[in-house]
Amino acid sequence: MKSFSVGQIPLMERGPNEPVYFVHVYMSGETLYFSDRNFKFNDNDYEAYLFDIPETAQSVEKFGGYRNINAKLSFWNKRFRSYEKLIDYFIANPLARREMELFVLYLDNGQMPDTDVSTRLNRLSFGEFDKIMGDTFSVELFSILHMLDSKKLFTQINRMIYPNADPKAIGQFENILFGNLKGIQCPCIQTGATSTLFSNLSATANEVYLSDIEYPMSFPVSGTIQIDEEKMSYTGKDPANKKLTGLTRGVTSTLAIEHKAGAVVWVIQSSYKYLAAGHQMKSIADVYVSGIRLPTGDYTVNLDDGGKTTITLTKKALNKHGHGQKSIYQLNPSTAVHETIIGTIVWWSGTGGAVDQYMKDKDQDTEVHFGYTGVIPEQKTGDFVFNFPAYNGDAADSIYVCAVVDADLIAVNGDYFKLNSPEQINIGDTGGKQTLRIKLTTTTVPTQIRFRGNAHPVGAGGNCVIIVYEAWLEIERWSVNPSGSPGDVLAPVVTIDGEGYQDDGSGAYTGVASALIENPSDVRRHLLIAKLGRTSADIGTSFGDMRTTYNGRVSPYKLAMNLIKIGSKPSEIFQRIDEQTRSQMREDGGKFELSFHPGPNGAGADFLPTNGVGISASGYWGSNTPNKSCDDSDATLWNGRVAVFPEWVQHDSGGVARIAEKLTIKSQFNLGNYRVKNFSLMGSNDGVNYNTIFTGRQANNGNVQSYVFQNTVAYRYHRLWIFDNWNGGADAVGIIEWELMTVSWSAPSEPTPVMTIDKTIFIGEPVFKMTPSVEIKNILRAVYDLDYGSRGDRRKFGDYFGQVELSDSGSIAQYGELPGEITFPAVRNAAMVEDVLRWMLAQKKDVIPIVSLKANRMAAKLERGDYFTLNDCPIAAWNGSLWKVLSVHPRYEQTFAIQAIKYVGS
Amino acid sequence: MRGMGYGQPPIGGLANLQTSEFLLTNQGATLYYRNLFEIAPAANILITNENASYPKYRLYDRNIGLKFKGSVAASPFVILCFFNPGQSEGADTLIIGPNHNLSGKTMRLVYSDDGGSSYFHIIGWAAYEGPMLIRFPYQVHFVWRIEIYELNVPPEITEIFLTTGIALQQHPIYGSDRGIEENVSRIESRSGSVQKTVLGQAKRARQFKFTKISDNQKNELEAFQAGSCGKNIWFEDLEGEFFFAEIVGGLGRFQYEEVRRWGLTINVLEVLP
Repeated sequence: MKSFSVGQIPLMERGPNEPVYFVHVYMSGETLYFSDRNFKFNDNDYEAYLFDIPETAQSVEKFGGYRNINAKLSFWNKRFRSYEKLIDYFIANPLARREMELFVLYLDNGQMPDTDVSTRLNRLSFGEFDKIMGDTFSVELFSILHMLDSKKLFTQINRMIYPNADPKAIGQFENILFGNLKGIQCPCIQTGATSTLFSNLSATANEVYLSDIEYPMSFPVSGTIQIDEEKMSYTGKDPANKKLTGLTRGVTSTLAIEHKAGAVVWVIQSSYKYLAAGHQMKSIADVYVSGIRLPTGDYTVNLDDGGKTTITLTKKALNKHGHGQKSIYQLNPSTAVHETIIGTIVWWSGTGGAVDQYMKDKDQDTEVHFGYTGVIPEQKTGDFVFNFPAYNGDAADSIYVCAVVDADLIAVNGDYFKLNSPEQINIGDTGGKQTLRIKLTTTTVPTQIRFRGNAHPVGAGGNCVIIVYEAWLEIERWSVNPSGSPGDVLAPVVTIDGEGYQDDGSGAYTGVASALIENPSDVRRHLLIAKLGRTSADIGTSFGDMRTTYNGRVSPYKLAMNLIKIGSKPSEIFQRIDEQTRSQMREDGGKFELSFHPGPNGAGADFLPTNGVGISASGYWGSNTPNKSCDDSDATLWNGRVAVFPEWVQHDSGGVARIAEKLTIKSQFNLGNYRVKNFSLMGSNDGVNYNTIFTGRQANNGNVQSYVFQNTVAYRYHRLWIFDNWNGGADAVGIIEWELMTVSWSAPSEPTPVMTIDKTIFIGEPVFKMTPSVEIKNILRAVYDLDYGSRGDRRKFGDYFGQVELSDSGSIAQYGELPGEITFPAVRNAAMVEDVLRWMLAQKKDVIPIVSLKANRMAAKLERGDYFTLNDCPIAAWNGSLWKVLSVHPRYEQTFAIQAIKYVGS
Repeated sequence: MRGMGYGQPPIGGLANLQTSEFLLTNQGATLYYRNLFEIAPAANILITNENASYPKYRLYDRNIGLKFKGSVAASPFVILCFFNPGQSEGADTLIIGPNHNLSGKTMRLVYSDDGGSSYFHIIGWAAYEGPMLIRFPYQVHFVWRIEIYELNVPPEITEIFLTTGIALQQHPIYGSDRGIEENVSRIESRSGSVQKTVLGQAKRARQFKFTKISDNQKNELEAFQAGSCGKNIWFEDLEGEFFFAEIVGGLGRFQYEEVRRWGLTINVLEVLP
């Protein structure tokens, strides 16, 4: 008889012994070590406060998927420390949402465990108490993923975090971005108050009544507002009467005009900020307002604005940006003077007074003129000079110099009256009093204009009198007058193109420091650790293997998604990512593990010749001729001409047209500035008219880069256009090798079974069933490339830009057409979608057998996702077939309940 | 309750003994059921120090799996109990449960009858692995004190039992048994192969079928029944093996066989830690 001794546990033979189960319960600041027996192991005293723990283990071992587990842990409710009952301790130290780990310990024959040979089965979270009785109580157990579901994953925009946020942005979730994305809407987190005019506002009124002055955003006590085109400053606020007081009208080069009730009133801010993402992004490429790309000078990107990514606009992003009507702003001179340049000039005005004042009195009756009647005794030249205040208004589209003049010149000297600056433009004899409107070529508003009169030549006879009544500038500009509701004015749609999360400096998520996190395996790892607070110890090694698997597919798998569009809670998000990446994430052994669904494989063979036949180019440099771009040699290359872009290299098959579905390019690697940047693959069957097959951008390195695309059209000519290199177009372009392939799909080699299950280990009969026939789908249509800029106005297919459709003719012949639709909101890559879709089609085109069986402990080695060979089936045709384990439940007394689905390769 | 109570000598004494009892009395099979550490008020049990996660009640909770632990090593490390004023209790056996860490340490049992001013030696011994059973002459005292010397780590003790035993009279009928109860399941696959799985340790089991036991023994057993309250006990069998055990199904009922002679079947099953 064996008994416990300190530091040891009873001897047990591994095979025929029921294993020992124990748990670590992680309380605040301490760990409790419990089991259904008392023993010491690894210097921990495990105490028998649990019962029925094998049943608990049976419920949770090898648990996977996203449904919560249905299990509980049962405790002896006996004295614990200073507490009369264990439950008293747990009431004082709440157990809910605490985590525990469940371990199993197998012992070899005659051995005592002196090192940790236990296996962690699962990590679980506690729920609520259940069945509290005098001697016992039990506690519900949750899967970690289920517990994480209640964890805060998304941050909502609110007035606590963003006091000046656009009211429409309140309640929206901060973007969480992965991969390379386009059209991401950015909520406005910093703007000014807005309202509408309560009553008409005259051009001279100094108070403005508003529909509301405090809600939803409060107008400041002083500031500058804009109504229609007019800007006006104010110095007071009267909340009781909902009005702003102390108006100065028409500030910053705007016109004080009348405004109608209902016009939008908004406070002008020095800057307006939009939230691109609730985290640091890798980069932002472009910014758009209502779909119009902004010049880079109009905004500032901050990739780390307190840990978030923001865009600051220096001007308000108005809905009518660039789409309004032209308007004319009249800029009047601040001063006017006349200057004698040459000779003695008699200046006079019609009615006396300060001569210069007449040139800007705007009555067009008084005048300033000079001149000479009779024979000109000497050259007489004089300037009319008008000075203007600085113009602060919107950018001028056209500038007109306007003047009311009367130039009566000696005929021979008809060109001796002109606009002298800022541009020289002849005016000549006006033939009487006229209003001039002279368009300047510049769009910079001048601060001075100068007309010049010239009585010349000496000795000429006749009148030479020039009169200038008035002059002003007319500035033609695009209206930025906003329309629509105040909400539209507050924050029109600002969208960005950019790259989401990047790796940290150590490459903890992707293996490469600061790399874009887009591999589906890395994205999930990042979600678990950075967003859900798990540790890297919770991530299984399969995540690393899956990164390699994803990178090695016919087209590398990359996610591009805004997490808030994928799901509302972690389990939903992970499940949706699984669906889109042909994989299964699960909890196993207390860790998260990933597995890929084996099935159809895509591969392509290069159809470009290696002997140079049919290869030509737009040009080449030196001896680097076009045929060297596809000679299967890394030692030779084709160079385009120096600084000539675009260049192209082409293949003419001469006969058989081929379907190109994959392109690889290996750029010149020794000279970075010779590498391909933007390119386009085009196809033609006549060598004249070309269709674009694919357009892309090669990363700046000398590696082979692959592009897989959807194309069903066969072409004789394939032409690769290179628009520039990574030196901006200087130098030449160099291509070591380019290849074109047609992708073919095949079944992979069958997975290797872990074991064979036959009657030697069956307990009872295996039971078979089939997957539901109503789930048969033989035409699969997938949509991808979610339109993030649609504001949700569109639905279903309209929300996506890309579409892939596959079908299986054999299944259609059997069952008729059974279409199915799958959405890929996290993917922008057609080839990746096809890769997933081909596996789905293989699984859905027919019913698939499922087997449930019990086996003895020989089946203990099976894990979820493993394959086994099944013999001794009641259906002889299935003998020797391969099955994939869906679940393994250890039964009490070491029998195992196994459910498995028959392997379908393609 | 008939017969005797706690700590009282058997009713009738030697004058009432039958001849056959002298012939058949066995000194081996013994039930140890009362523990002075349970009789003493909890507040009167004093320990040199205590790890709050492994408190002192575990020394006398009749659970040989849960450990008491001291918080700091001390020499001597003292565990004592005393009774209410005017009360003294007797014992002749000290049992210390398995899974302690005292092996090799010097231990001593002492007493005091003056409230702890002076202590007198009862017995000393060197501790050894596994459960320890220490016998000494029956005596009655106010303070009982266990001293552990030479500790360099805090002591770990599962159970302390300061007790007297009830020796079972040797009246088992022919066929009283001893053995083990296995805890093994059997599963058969479709091919007919059999898998056996050890679910847990085997337990030692003893069965005693008594016949013609006297009123005295019956009274003692009834006192045992009242004193143990059906809880687990320490048991020493005919061959001197002793272990923690339960009386399966309780003591059961005495069968009337003839005048002042009774029959009884006792099932003893080991309790695992």
